[in-house]
Amino acid sequence: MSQTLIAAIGFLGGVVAALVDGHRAVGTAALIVAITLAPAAASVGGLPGAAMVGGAGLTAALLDPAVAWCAARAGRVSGLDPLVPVVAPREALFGPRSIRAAAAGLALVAASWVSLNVLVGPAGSAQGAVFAAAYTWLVGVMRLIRARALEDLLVGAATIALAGAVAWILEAGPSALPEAMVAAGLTPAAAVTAGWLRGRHHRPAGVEAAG
Amino acid sequence: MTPILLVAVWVAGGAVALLLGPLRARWLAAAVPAVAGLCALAVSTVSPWPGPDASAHYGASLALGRPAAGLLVAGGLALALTLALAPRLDGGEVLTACAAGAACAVALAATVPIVWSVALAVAVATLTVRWITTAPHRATLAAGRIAGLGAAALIAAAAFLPGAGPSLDARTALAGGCLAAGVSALLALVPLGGWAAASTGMVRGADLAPWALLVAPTVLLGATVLLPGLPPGARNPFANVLLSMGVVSALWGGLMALRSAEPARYGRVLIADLALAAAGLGSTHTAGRLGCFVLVLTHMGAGPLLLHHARSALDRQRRLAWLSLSGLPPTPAFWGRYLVLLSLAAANGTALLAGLVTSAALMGTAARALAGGWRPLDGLPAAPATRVLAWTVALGLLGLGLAPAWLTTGVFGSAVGG
Repeated sequence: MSQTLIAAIGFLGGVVAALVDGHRAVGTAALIVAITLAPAAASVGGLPGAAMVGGAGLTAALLDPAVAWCAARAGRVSGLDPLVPVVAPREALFGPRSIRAAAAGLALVAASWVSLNVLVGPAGSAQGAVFAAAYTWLVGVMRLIRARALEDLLVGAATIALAGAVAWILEAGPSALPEAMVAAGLTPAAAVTAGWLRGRHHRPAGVEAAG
Repeated sequence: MTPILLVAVWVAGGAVALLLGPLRARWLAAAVPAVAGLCALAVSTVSPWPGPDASAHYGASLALGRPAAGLLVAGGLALALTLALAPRLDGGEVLTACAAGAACAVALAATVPIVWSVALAVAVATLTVRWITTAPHRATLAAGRIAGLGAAALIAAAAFLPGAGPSLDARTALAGGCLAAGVSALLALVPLGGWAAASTGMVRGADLAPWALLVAPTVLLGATVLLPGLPPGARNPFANVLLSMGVVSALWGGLMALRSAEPARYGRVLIADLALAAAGLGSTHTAGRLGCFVLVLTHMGAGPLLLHHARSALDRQRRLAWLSLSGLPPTPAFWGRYLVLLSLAAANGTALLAGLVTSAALMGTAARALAGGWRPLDGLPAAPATRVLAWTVALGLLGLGLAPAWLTTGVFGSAVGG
């Protein structure tokens, strides 16, 4: 696969990670980012690299609703709903998603600079894959910085973990899959945390309407 | 015992605490981190300690060095004392402490940078999720944002570190810059330190303890072992940022501590001393390294008493702890700050001046605390065993000042003393 195509696919995944919101945002972002980063991982790590990244995203996407379901059956308790903003800013012309979209545009420039100027890996030839990992990492950082709720932080953590795993494969080569797996393991952990908190603390729609 | 077994002990401790949580037995809450910490004594250590930037020879295996084992023992015991002296517990603190302890054990035993950085990210994520869920506020959300940003920077640094070369190219500069940003954020150095200062006033002491007593010392120890092995192009910006931002943060933290009231006062002193410790490391002098770990050990003793809100039942013990932090000879804080000032004197005159002003401000803060004005009016009783434990901690802390270098190298090994 050409490096340009790998970079374009990685860019699309980053855009989705920047804009996804609502319940199951962690699982959705993890799945999309994993699918779009899999070609970048495969360019150096081969099929095992792609399978590892894709597997982490798929596991996160499955665990998020499953854990939420289990947590809801365990009984709801008072506490913080991860979807509810901890800090609600004033209403503004440009909402949080518009600002994230603008930041994702700026991240495009930064990731391009990294891919053009920083050699990653012994050969340093996988520039498109470096762009995909760098762009996804920058989007994850932007989700962290612009976070208003716990769910935003967990989307950022899941995205950064996958980008870190791919970057490590690009740097250390196909033999680095065990270490990359440690990094990618943070993604399902973020999904489990999001699902657990949502299931335990989310107020049913009827209660919200009555309240 | 292997490092992976030690990590399993921390995880199992958290699981036990989760299962027995409804019992809310205080002794159990304190016993879990104490046992997990003491288990580090049985771990077979390697010498020389490869650290997180080892060669590919180690692969993804875990190898614990003598300083790391000492830190896990001391940190586990300090966490246990903090939980034992807490006015009240809800059970979740032990789970958080065990998760952070397991992550720190992995970080300290990591032999490749990606495992080190991801383990620190897990520790930070655990703590901030706990803080945000127990005290939803702008300050705790900022902890997630900024400390999370620091962990993300360390993950990025991990990808650039192995190939960083001796010349200052883009890749080497990025490795040094990301390391500096990540460590600064996790140690709450200016301009990335507002999250810790604000959170110390919002989060209860038992929830703050894993960061203060385990995660921050783990970051400092990681920086200690990373610095000498880095190529100059990455080492110089990293050390310079630690030195300059450490000094500025210490000065700011000291001045803010002087005007802070309880319960945020101790948090400010802790942040200022951590910044001084970072500056000591950044100076790359032997005295600074030893001073850094004397300060870490001092706060491992003072934290269990002072992280909690003031209680009239433990008033005298807390005053003794404040005396230990005053910086008057021969208190442990004096020796720690003195050693750091020695290293600052060797590095830069301006840094020394800022360090002296910081030490004076911290002395004034301790004097304010000792003079009163914060006398608690609560009627919360303390069991006789709790009082005895508090006296033991306070007197032990004073004892640290009588043989600081011997005790610090006894805990962390001779590597931290040069």
